[in-house]
Amino acid sequence: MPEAIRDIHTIGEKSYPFECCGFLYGITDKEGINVTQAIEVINDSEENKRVHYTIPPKEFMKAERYALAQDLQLIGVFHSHPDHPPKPSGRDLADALPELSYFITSVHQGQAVDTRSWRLTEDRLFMEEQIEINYTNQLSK
Amino acid sequence: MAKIIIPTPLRKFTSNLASVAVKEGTVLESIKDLTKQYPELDKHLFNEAQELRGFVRIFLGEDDIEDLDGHSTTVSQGDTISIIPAIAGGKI
Repeated sequence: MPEAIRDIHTIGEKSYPFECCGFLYGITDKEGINVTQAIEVINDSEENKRVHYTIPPKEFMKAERYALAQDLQLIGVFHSHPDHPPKPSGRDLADALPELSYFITSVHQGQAVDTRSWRLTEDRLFMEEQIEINYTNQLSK
Repeated sequence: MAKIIIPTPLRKFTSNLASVAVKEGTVLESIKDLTKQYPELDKHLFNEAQELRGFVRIFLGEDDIEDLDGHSTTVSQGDTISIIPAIAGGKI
């Protein structure tokens, strides 16, 4: 988990002040979900990339095939919120898929400071998931 | 019948089936037939106004239906429809 989180933070910082995005891969075992890889996808939003991200359908198809080829699961999606808390917006919720983890990283003034994970409930509300992270480069926590 | 390919995150709602046989008609009618067979899918594919959610992109064979006749695109016997998510969101 920490390696994938470090990668997400690096990608988020590199993309600042724009939102980054990508897919999370890993395995699920009796101890829970273990995210082993975070791979960036170029933010394809045709809107303001400072506040929005899009991953086109063909990238989703590629991600499913990659997971299959690597014998991994497509665990979820990550994206960053530049200078904004790592909490899902209404827009995040409206377009969310069930059964995926949504990692959101807050990047404050170019530095990744916090990552939280969210998952849809059966009522299509986001509930925070607990994730274990070794923070080494953040401002607080 | 035609068939709809289900993306991995939604297979929980189709008894883990990767594809489901549906009635022909228009694309929208075929998808409605899918949600009739698996009602739990409805709220994930359609919003409160019964419009397809933003992430839902539909392909008929290799073609994005937006390049055809949209939701009115004709689905014929033996056609394959794919539901492919376009992931989107953002801080605002």
